[in-house]
Amino acid sequence: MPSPIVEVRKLVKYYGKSDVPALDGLDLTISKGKIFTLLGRNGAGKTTFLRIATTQLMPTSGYVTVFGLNVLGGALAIRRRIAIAPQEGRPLWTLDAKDHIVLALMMRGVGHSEALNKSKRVLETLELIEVENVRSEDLSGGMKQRVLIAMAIACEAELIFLDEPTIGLDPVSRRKVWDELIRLKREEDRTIVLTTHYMDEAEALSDELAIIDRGRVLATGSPSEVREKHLDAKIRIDVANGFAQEELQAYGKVVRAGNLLRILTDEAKAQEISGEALKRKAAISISPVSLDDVFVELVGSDIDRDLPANNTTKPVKGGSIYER
Amino acid sequence: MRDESFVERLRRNLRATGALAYYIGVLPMLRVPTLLPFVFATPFTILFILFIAGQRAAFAYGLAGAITMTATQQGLFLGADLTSLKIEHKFQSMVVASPVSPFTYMFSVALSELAFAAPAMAVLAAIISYTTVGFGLLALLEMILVIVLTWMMTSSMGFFLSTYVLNTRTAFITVSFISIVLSILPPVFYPISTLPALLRPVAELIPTTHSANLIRSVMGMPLGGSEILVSWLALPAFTLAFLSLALLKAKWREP
Repeated sequence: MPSPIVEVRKLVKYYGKSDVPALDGLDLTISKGKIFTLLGRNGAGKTTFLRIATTQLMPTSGYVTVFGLNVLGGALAIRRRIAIAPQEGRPLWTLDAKDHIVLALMMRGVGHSEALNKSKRVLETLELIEVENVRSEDLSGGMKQRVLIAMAIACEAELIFLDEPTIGLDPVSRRKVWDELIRLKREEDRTIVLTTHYMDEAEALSDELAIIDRGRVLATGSPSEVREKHLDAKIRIDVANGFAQEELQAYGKVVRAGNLLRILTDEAKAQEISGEALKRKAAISISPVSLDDVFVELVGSDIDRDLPANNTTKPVKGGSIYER
Repeated sequence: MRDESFVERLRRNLRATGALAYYIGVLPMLRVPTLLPFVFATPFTILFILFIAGQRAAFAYGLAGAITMTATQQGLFLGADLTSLKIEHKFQSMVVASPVSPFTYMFSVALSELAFAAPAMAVLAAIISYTTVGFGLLALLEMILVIVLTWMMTSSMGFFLSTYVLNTRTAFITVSFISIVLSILPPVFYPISTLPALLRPVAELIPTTHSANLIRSVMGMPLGGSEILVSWLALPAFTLAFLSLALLKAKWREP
């Protein structure tokens, strides 16, 4: 069992005078040398958690340790070993791609010539080398996003936090980023914590993941563990036509997915319905259940739940910067 | 990970300072020199009005005022720029989650603001040295010290402000307002003696009154000895107070 690099226990965060917690007793363990994904809808608490773990934001209660150091007292030591690519960041308009990476490295004490050498490798990896001297104001949205990712991964931080890193990237660029994250994990033993709401990304990258909603963990484990533990069905059938919703209910749980009717069922029922579909010449597609189905099952059913009751925990007041 | 030695920490901080000042201030200035007139605009406009409408004495007050205002504005602009780096670019997120200390960040970006002001300062200093009889090296060093103290004080204000302001627009409006309060209303472009007696003690409470006084004394303009001494005590005291406020009460890590 790999040693934990981040441990979170009963983490609670209220913003200002809000009665609604952004994090509501979050428990997580993130192992060293893994890619850990936080999956959740907008406002689920993913960014709040990242900001607390990266020592940017004070928790209301509970505790978080990073490298065994409490984020409240050990912030200075933690900051030497982490890096972050924040959500919706924007490069500085007068700087080019290379400048950003050199700046990120020199901010951490790397010398100029070494920073230049290191920036080359990262620029090549993320296919930014052709635009290394192009000012960020002239880069596409996807390239800007890759510059921010490059700033985080160029620093040789042991633990990298990426907040929705592939938003706005085209499929090819996303794959490039995925490949680089997997390489960093495998070849450099780095730990990567990322947030996303792309299920395919979570499925493709994660050694472990947690689905969170309204500041609570709903499921955690490897993608296959989460699928097996939280969904009885093993097969997903998408039905385009030829069947009425009522008759499909005999085969399993039916949900609407856009123009399709989706049935979550087992193999025997899948065989039955595929035979019936052949007779009717109906268009259906059959595949194993995915994280997407688990996510909808766990989070989708939670949409109408009442908001949590008023908080009883007093927010912690921010201190001086010397508490850093 | 082993602890850093003092020398390693010093080297890291110096590199961070140099990189932040260069990439945030010097390089943009070199790449987009058309930004520079904005720094010149207000102080040189007031100076021009005093030159056209006033007499020689008014122009001398104008020079002292322009140099005080330029130092003041650049410090305050730090607040607006840091707010933009925090809110629009999320750059401060990356900095907080790194070994860069708040002081290093504030000082580095403030240096970058000073780099932007350097051409305007140089022009003003050149005019002062040309128009002031007996303006020597010592006077220049004194003037630089006054500029640095004023810049540090207003940079501390700017940094403090940027950690509390929640959007860029508010930051720019607030900075513009404070700039008026610090460099147009008080006796920066005119002598304190022209104020009604009732308002003079209020003017003494505004730090830039003392900056302007000291620049005038460097330029050999008539000032009482006690007035100079009070200003030499007041300006460092204000600078220390605002620096302490920035370092102790700014919100680096959000509550």
